Amino acid sequence: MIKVKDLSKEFIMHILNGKVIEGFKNVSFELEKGRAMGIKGKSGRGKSSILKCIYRTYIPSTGSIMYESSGFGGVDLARADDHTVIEIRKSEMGFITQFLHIIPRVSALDVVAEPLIGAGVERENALKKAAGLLSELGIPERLFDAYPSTFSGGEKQRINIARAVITKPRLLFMDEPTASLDEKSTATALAVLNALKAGGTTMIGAFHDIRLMKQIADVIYDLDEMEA
Amino acid sequence: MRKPVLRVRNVTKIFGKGCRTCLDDGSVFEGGICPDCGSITGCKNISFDLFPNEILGIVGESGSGKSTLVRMLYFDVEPTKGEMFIEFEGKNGVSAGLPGFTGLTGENNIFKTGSFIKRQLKNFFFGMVYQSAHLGLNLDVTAGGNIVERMLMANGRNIEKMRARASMLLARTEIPVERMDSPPKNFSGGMQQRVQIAKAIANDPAILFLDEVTSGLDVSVQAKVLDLIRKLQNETGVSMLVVSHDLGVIRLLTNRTLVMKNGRVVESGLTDQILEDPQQEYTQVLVNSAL
Ligand SMILES: Nc1ncnc2c1ncn2[C@@H]1O[C@H](COP(=O)(O)OP(=O)(O)O)[C@@H](O)[C@H]1O
Ligand SMILES: Nc1ncnc2c1ncn2[C@@H]1O[C@H](COP(=O)(O)OP(=O)(O)O)[C@@H](O)[C@H]1O
Ligand SMILES: [Mg+2]
Ligand SMILES: [Mg+2]
Ligand SMILES: [Zn+2]
Repeated sequence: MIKVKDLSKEFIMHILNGKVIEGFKNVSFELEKGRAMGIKGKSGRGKSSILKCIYRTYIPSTGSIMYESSGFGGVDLARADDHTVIEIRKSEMGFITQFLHIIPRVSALDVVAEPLIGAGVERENALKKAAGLLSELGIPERLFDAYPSTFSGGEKQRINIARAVITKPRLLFMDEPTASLDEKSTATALAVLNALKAGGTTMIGAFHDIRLMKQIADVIYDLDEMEA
Repeated sequence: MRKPVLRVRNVTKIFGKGCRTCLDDGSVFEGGICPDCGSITGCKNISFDLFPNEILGIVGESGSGKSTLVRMLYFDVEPTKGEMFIEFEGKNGVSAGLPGFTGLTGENNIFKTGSFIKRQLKNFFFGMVYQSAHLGLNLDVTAGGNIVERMLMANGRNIEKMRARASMLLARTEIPVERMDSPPKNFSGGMQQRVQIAKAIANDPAILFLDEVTSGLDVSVQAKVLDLIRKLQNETGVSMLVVSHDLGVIRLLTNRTLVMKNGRVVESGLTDQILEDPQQEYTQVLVNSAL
């Protein structure tokens, strides 16, 4: 479903006299539908950058990202035009970011339901689904109408997970999705993610904890090994 | 793939008589003043597409040509050259009853159509919210009157119906209905912007232009107006062109962004990409100074 070839990212910092910062170099892999890949590597090796290049928050410097889209057929995400990327993100992708990008003054329930409403699901229905998902992730009901900006790190992270998985995306990116969760909420989060995977979602994730990564990943891409 | 509702091609505005130097598509002058004829470049060679339901941001420092651009699209300012095409099949009565107008087929350069059609488009198809309320409102006429006036321009007839709709629009933009019969000159800045928004959406436009609508407001008031804009876009699916020098506004509202400098687009991309992986030096400075 996704085939990444010779992908590299360099950041050219014009404001630092053109200094070049290497994000990562020569990444190639292939992943079949419904499989999960974990990216392993020390801090700064480029795990987040790889995810962001595929999602196109970063523009890749070299290489191709052939993605088999349900709506557009074969697309090279490294070169696809902005509108195609916007459409594919909306209808096929989810991204659990490391930190919640706060949308101010929107309730937890609405934050989570929003992508589903954007995908055309009727509002009442979307809110019901959001509530179910939040309960599953162990968010107490009294927080549903509160603003996530006031939540603890672990609660924010679960909002983030719920928002990314509610549409049951075909392709899910996860950047340290359980980093700020305690043991119990990590277990429920992994259960939610594994259920999604069982439903056919393809996943690419960066994890700081190898033990956790192995609970969801079928294959591991080791950036440290590449370096050695 | 859906088609753009608006296509803008090579739009240029030179203030002054212009000469070969400043009309040349390749020329750029710091500060925008032509060294040969003294004319000022407002915008140079701007092209972009706007899709249905899309919120496109335009960011750039003061004087970069953002307002000139939207004012040309809204027919407030006449372009020196360039084209605009609209492709739209929908309700909203623009092509209905326009003599000699074949409809919004995306084939005619709208800048070259007659003043009647432009006026119709301005009234039915576009909406505009200006930075200064006095440009968008008659501050001495009641809030309700301002809105009814816009409906009249779009051939509204039944006064009772129009008043009822004005009251509904004011409620939607969170203006207390009892203020409907007061003039906006007595309103706070945030309320004036809400009335402007209510007026701009009075005829259900397909495209809304928002030029620095929150720039003069206190931070807390700003936040509420931005919430309102998000809510309206969600509910109506109107396409928006959001002009702001404030990257926070752009981040909150838009999916895609054009970065302008000296009248030109220097970079465009997905908004998260512009913010996290800016390519041009100018954008990198802009993003870094906003942090
Ligand atoms: N937006 C960016 N601009 C400049 N440098 C970046 C940016 N994102 C990441 N980097 C650099 O790229 C390298 C890899 O970072 P990252 O992908 O965050 O690694 P990891 O997620 O493995 O910790 C680091 O040196 C980091 O400083
Ligand atoms: N009516 C006008 N006559 C002459 N110059 C103008 C006029 N309007 C704008 N300009 C000039 O055009 C340039 C772009 O201005 P403007 O579009 O207002 O920028 P922005 O909205 O990005 O701040 C500036 O140099 C400005 O001084
Ligand atoms: Mg990281
Ligand atoms: Mg301006
Ligand atoms: Zn000149």
